[in-house]
Amino acid sequence: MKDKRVYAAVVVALACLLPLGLDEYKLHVVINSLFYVMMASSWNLLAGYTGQVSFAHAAFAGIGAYTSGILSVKAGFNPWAGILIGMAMAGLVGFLVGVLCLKMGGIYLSLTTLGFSEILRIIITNEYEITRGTMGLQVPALMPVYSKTIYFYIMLGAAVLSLIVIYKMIYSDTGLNFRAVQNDEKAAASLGVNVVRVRVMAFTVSSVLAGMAGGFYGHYLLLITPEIPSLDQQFLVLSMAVIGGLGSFVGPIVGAFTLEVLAEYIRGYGQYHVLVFGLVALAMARFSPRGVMGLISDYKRRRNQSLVAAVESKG
Amino acid sequence: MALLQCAGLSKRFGGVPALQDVSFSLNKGEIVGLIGPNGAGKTTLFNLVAGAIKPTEGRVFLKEVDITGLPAHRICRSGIGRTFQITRPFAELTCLENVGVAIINRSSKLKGEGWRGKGMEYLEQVGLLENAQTRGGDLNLIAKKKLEMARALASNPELLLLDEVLGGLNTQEIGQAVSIIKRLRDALGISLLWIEHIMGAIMGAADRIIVLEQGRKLLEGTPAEVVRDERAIKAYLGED
Repeated sequence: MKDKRVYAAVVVALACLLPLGLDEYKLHVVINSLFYVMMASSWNLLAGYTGQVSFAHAAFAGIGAYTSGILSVKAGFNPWAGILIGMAMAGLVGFLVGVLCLKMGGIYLSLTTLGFSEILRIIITNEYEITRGTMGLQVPALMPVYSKTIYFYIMLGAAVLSLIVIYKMIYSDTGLNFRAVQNDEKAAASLGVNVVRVRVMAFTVSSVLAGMAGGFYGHYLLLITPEIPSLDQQFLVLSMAVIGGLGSFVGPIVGAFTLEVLAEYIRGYGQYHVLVFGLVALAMARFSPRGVMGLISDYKRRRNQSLVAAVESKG
Repeated sequence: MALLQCAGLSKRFGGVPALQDVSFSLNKGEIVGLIGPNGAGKTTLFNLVAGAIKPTEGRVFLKEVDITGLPAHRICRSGIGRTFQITRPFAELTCLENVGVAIINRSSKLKGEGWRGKGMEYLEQVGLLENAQTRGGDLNLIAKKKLEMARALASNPELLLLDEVLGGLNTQEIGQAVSIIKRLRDALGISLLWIEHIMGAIMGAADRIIVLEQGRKLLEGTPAEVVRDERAIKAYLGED
């Protein structure tokens, strides 16, 4: 436990040095990655720990971004306050969708959330007066003088905050309840787990975190488009979490960085990266359901076993 | 005062009656056996008591408090534990975590990581100590049954519902399991409502037997009375 904290502190400290060595473009890629870290990790909390494979996670980021954006543009709110309200809004809608999906599992929940996501995107695209549709809504920056470096630190702070919340949850009694519900709802209920509460809580918390990610991201891009709550975005986030490793804390972080950086590299060959990632995620889900992190832990276990066997055969 | 009292319990699935007007009570410290041919409604009765399904008619009382229709997790917290006939381990959780789920959700909560030490005690009671770090899905059938028991015990029940825990065990293992079950009552004061097909075992251990047939209570009595009863013999072996 202590060791892990030290590791995390070192990683964050090293990350703080990044702006020194990166040009504007590379810094932009890293900021994008931090957005995806928040998205993939909070989606993992819902899908990887309670088994609710929601396709509405990008939609909740959209709710966060548009709530904050519209409030600051139309009502003159401070963007920081806007982000907070956006998080609350995403949480509220997440709560309602969670309640709606209570009796659903598997594909039904996925289809319902997919439908919700599309409805939201269509509304945003068509409510031109309020959202500026596909033209995008120009929103104010989080600081008086635009600085990518400061944005990097803000996004890093938001990502760390988000990850702390997720870590605290999954390594607590709540996390154990989450996994119990994911494994077997009936058995969990028979042992005193309030399944309704667990499911709705996971939906609400992950939606608040998605709302926060969307809010900050919108005020970084300065232009909010229906691209944020789109299914493309959703499947990218899904791929990151699945390839990195569902049900693992580190997996989605690794997945987010790897795929975002990779996407930038292969951008030159056209917009095929989402397709490629989707296929890789599909293969992963089939052959290594716990993603890259699962492969690593399996490898470690096998190596330990063969070490033990070697020691035993000698002794 | 009866620990558990069921009054006129009925359950219909669609139009099909699975259980009709079943009443009985169970006193503190009693082991009551529930027997009957397949499809008699034994597991349905369990599910009604444990809150997995709601009765069409009738009430369930625990220590004279009406618990009819409460959700399963609240019935568990009020003091009724259960095992499942077809074992339902949390496949991706270790045995210790499986038991931990029960400990962290019972009314007498243990703070922080306290459940780990306590969990080991429950695993030891059923002989699963060496499997503490094995995932539930990787256990063999007997170990899965033991895990069911350990989990149910860890929820700290006053009344434990056992659904065919002996199925699939050999003679020697049955002997061990029965002595574990008797010890639950004698040492821990847990009352038991126990569905079992292995007559030798349940007739030896139970204080009273309830026979169900086609969703109705056929008769109730001491094991000695039940084995001599014509109706019970017919229910099991058919006419002639």
